[in-house]
Amino acid sequence: MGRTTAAHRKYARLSFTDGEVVVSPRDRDIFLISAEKATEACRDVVQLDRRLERFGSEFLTPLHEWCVANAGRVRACYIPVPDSHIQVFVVTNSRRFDFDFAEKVAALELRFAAAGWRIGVSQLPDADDGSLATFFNPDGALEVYADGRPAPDQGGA
Amino acid sequence: MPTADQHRIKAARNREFLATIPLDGHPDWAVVVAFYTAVHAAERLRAAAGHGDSTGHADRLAYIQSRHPDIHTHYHVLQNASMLARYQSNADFFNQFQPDDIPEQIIARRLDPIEAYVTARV
Repeated sequence: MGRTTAAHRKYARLSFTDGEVVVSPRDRDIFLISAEKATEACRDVVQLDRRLERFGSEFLTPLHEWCVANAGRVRACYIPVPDSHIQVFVVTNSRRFDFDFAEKVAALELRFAAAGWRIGVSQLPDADDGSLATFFNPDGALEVYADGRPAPDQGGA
Repeated sequence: MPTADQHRIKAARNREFLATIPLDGHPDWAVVVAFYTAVHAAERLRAAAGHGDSTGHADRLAYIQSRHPDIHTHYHVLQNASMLARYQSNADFFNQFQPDDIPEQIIARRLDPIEAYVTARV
């Protein structure tokens, strides 16, 4: 299932201040690679001069705010480096698939679609490190939200 | 390029197969078959409208988001559950879903409305 060894995993950790995305210098390069591919994947909204700014203000920040608003259910949120489309993975706190929460996730997906962001958002119930690697390559993935616990294999760094 | 009627037949065959899957033994496969029944229902809509074929799951989801938002939530749930059924371990799946979830949450609450929506329009 394409598992990656822990030693090679690296998320780009994002933080959000006053509605803007903040990326540490250490993570800036992998963020830019991921963001560049993500905006290419969303051709509806690509404007070369503003696309990174719009990726942050119209997509990453609202997504982060949504995670914060649903913090009781959301443990983490990741965006792998896209290939043909953007896929968001929302890791929940529950071991069960939450059918009610799935409606909120679907509504989020539709909200972004209405704004021109063609993305998929998937719920991963209480996914551990190994499960995450089943669904996406953590290398270069954007960590949009984490509930304070260290990201997998980052050892709290 | 399959026709709308070919998709109707494929969806109907998937539905027949779904009814034969023992939910206490293979609920994961029931979820997968329910999703692919919905896939052909969506492709039936697309073909009937003259909008061509979807190029993949992401393209089909985008089509439903833009053209048929009324069934988007149903389709979204089926696609998410099917992804988990296909790629996670059996232990994870059986933690995430209970047998009763399949007839109630997957089929009655999600697949049935998609089928009714499509049937009313094609």
